[in-house]
Amino acid sequence: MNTRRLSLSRPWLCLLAIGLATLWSTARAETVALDRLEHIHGLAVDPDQSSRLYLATHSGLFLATPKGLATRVGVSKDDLMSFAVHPTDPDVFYASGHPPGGGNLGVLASRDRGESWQRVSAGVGGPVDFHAMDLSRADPRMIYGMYKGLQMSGDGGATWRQAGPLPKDTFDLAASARAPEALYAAARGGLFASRDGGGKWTRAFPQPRPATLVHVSDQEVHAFVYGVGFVAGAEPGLGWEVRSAAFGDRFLLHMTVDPNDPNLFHAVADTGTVLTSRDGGRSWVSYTGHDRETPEVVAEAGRLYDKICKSCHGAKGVGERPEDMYANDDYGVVAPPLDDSAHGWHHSDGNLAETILNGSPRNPRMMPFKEIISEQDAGNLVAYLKSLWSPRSLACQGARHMRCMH
Amino acid sequence: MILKRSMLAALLALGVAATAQAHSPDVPRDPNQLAHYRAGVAAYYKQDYATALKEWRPIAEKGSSAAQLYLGFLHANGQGVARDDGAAADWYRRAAEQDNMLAQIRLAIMYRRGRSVQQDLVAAHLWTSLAARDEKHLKNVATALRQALETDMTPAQVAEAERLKRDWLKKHRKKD
Repeated sequence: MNTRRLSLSRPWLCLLAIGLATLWSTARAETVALDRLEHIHGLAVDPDQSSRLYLATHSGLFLATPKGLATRVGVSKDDLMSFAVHPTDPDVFYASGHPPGGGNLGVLASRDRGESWQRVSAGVGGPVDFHAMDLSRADPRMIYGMYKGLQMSGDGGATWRQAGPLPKDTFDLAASARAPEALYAAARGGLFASRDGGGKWTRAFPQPRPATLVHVSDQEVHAFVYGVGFVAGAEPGLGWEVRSAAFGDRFLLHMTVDPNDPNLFHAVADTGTVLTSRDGGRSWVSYTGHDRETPEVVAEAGRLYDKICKSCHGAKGVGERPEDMYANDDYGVVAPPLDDSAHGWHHSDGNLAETILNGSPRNPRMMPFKEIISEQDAGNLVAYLKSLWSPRSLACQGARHMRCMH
Repeated sequence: MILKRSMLAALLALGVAATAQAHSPDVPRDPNQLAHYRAGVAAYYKQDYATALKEWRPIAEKGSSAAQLYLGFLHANGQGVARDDGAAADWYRRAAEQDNMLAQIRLAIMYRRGRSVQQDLVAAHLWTSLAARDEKHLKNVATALRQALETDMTPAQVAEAERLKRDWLKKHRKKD
């Protein structure tokens, strides 16, 4: 039988197929484990589902879930070095950076939450590659960007002018919520504030320690001061409070506040890990791995496991039986146990879900199950597998298993 | 203690050998081919893809469907060779035509997604329903895939795929 001739003999079928292929390629986005994303340069909460986060990364914009999966938004693979969401229109995103092939992007805007981007300006001396950018909550038409000094736009990014100099080695910018011309700069020499669009800078945090992050929400200003910790204060007096000093030599680089919950923060640490705080920055835990599924969901996932996984991985994840033909004849690798007895728990939730969805590149028997199940199903299957693990394996799950188990 | 454990292992191995089923139908019967096949598997799982390719290619060309499946997989993943979905589909097709059911599933997915081959849901359905004959491993997965395919197919397309399946089984003297 010649399948190629088969399809060519039906031109209408070909046309239909091409149409469907186009639909599929747009409907089937790229999904990877969250811990595989490199260089998260900015983040924002999905206003429709506050557990999901937009992450601007080295290779484009992703939408992440607490299950540890991240799905590409749109098709762009540009390195988004800076990222900001419009303070009053949640559909409008701004970004800057550079394409994978080199050159700079200028100032980009999206009206559809990152599905598509348009360049709104090249910036001054551009195209620019802003490494920090923020929109003013006092007047969202006022945008600040960092590229060879400070640049500002008073018209939503259409035109730009060079503004005053920045403090030396500025890492991050945040526009004040009080006045359009007021902003903050987190720099090696400390945290600074300007009331006149960067004309003059004064110290905003008393200690001259490196500040790695500054962020302004509707309520307050947040910053990370290296060696001090995560600090917060209300404008205009600031009156800083150290919310968490428990960072050791780690530090935070970017953060966002849930628009629907002023105490729910998400931040990116210098290690690349996404952290979450539910108490206004006083305690921080990993963004992923805290979802607790109901027993009903786990039981349902167990039934799905029995239907599509058990035939290779065995009942309750015990692995393959020795008399199984694949286990017995060097055909390839045995389907590994997924319970506690092997190393399933050495992988993060996201890695496990990614392998379920995309298949294994090391074993032709492990097919891409996204052909037949949803991302949600994959996450629930991981929850089922974890229900088979001991508390100790659960506590030591992931990349730190070597240090954790003794 | 160590002695005891190794004795136990030996006893277990004997037990397994005694109860072992036949080898997978896809693995070469010819002892020389089998040796090359196994050397390729050993190299593959050490991620020595160049050696795996060297061991597998000649026996794949001679017709070993297990080696053909792996050659398709190497090309699909760009392991030891440049990534080449077209070559992957060709190797999967050669293995699938010999009733290697893992290759049939892989080929079906390529037809479903139009990856390097013209998208063809009828062909995807054909290969999926052939793979669903693997009662022990693939039946449920292939059945779910076939059902997913059918949501995007007309009844006429499904009937066409079923007819092609009957023809294929007859031509290859295989049972449903």
